[in-house]
Amino acid sequence: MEGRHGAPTREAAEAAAARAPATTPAPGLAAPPPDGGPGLLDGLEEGVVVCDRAGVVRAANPAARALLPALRVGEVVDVARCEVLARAVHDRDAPASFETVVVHPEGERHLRGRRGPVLGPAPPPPPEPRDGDTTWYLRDVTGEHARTDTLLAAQERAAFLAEAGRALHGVLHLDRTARRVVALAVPRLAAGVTLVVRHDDTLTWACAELGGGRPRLGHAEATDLARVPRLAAALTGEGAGTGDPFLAGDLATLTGLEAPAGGVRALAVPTTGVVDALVVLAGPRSAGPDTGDALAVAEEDVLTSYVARAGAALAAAALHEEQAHLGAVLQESLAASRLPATPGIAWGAAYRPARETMRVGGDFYEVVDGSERSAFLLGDVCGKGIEAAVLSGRVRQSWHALRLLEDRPGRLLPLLNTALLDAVATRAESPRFATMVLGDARPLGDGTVVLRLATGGHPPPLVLRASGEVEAVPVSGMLVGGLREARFGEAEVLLGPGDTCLLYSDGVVEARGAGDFFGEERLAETLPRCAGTPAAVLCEHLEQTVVSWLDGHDHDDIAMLAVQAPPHAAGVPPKE
Amino acid sequence: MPELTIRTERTDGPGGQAVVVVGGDLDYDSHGRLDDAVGAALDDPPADLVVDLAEVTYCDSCGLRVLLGAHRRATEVGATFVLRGARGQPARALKLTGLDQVFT
Repeated sequence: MEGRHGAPTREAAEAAAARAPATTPAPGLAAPPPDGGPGLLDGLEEGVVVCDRAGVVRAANPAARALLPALRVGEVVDVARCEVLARAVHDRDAPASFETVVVHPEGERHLRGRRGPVLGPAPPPPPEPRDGDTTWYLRDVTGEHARTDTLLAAQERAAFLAEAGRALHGVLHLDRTARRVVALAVPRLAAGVTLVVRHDDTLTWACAELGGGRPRLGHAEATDLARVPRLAAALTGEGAGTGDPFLAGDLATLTGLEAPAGGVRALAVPTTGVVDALVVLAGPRSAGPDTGDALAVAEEDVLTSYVARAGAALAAAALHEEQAHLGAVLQESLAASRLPATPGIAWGAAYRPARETMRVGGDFYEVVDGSERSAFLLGDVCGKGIEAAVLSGRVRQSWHALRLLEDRPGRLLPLLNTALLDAVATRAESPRFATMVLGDARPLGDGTVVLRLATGGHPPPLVLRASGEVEAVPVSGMLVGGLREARFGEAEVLLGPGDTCLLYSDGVVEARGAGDFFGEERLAETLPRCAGTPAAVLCEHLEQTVVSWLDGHDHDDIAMLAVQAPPHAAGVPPKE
Repeated sequence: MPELTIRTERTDGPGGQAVVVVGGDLDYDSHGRLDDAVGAALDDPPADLVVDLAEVTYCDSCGLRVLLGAHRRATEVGATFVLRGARGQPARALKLTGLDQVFT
């Protein structure tokens, strides 16, 4: 390098120009003005080098000298130590542009060069600059701006869709999802947005308008679609289209809201078939897929992507509601049965499913009132949740059917055992068994009740005498539905007035509070305090005692069923 | 509540035993792990499959189901199923369900 650093000063440029007295300024270029004012080239950011046929540099602006500090006006271009440039100057057939790397005091510089027009004879010189003249440099930045705008718009679209995705994800509630779908879309996608969703027999609509506050929401029966044929067709994807004036009218009929003024655009929402859904845009930002230019295509993409996200969210919410409904139906069908009012017998029960099983537990009880004998069942299947609920349903239904054929508890249990084993065997399930106590109760008319009991793998029932004495019914048997060769015992118990027989699931004795189980002993100690209380109160009291023992700890299902010969004081209801 | 622990010890050769030593709570949450351990022990069937419950503090119906399944699977591959060591609540549960008569 020439020992110079950084951009040459104007003085240096002038000095360089002064060292080339033989050269006349290139045509179109301002010669260094006599008064020392700047030449026009001096303001250009691009470096300009003018060479004659022999390769002698005739002019160079400060930008060029800054890039190539060795460049000298009046000397051959070769001294600039830029071989590619020198070759391009000397060889007129060399490519009209180049890229190269040059050594520079500030480090390597990447240089791009292009050949300008070959200059002809000198045109008339531009007017002499006068004192006070100003110079303006103009550049076409249309492209740059377009690139920036496109980038910003793309970022905005991505941000909108990302936000929509976040806001719609995991709502899992159809009404709330619908409300959100329309709220998020206004005003980004349209001035007004209405969503119509059909899920089974129910129509849900949600409508948001610019400046209209909280989105409105309503429901209708799917049969109401008959009144709005255009909407019905659009909902199934048949008539969806832009500008159907009757569609807006149909929408108004359904929602009871004012029909949107101006054109509407309807889009079927893709929902994987769980629901049918339609979005109707009033004053849409995107007119349709065929409008052509890049911005319109991008807007249409946003709309399509948004609608797809909405569809996924609606489908997820609908599926979730279906499952919740399934759980509710299952729960209702498996819920503890209501206790009958049986003359001569007082029933009591308590049922507390484990916390985590959406109130569908593995414990169950049934009581069926009969003219002579009333049959009852209390049991427990292994496991929790839906699987346990299905199995307990199977046990209860089998019991209901089989007890019509065989009323002796000790004979009914083996039948039930075989039925459960067969049911499992045909389904290639691993054995799932149940434990239970079943029996029947027959009031003898003198205030006493005779019980026949059989157990399969279950804690034996306890008898609480009116005197407060507690005795375990001496009966045992193997679990039900687990072993072909299972054996079951049967026992008969006579309840005097005020005596109670308590059937309970192991959730009672295995309730674990701060470390220890509630246990059979504690249960047997608690019972005498309940002597003489009505069966229903006894169960309630026991449940509370166990819950206190748990002291907030998780527990398995808890079920109790009490059969009582009513105390004398309560009187024996007359037999019909 | 005590975490379920499972340790399997094997003696190889003819008449070899696989002893699955179980401890802690065998319940709804943990029974799958014993099921897996039993499956692994039976991959190379021993003459006897021994399940030792001496350190088990609690066994619910899910635990009993795994034991019943282990008995069945061992029998299927020609191994003798032996259950030993149960005491406390697990012993009561086995007696109550009659499984103590099955696993002898």
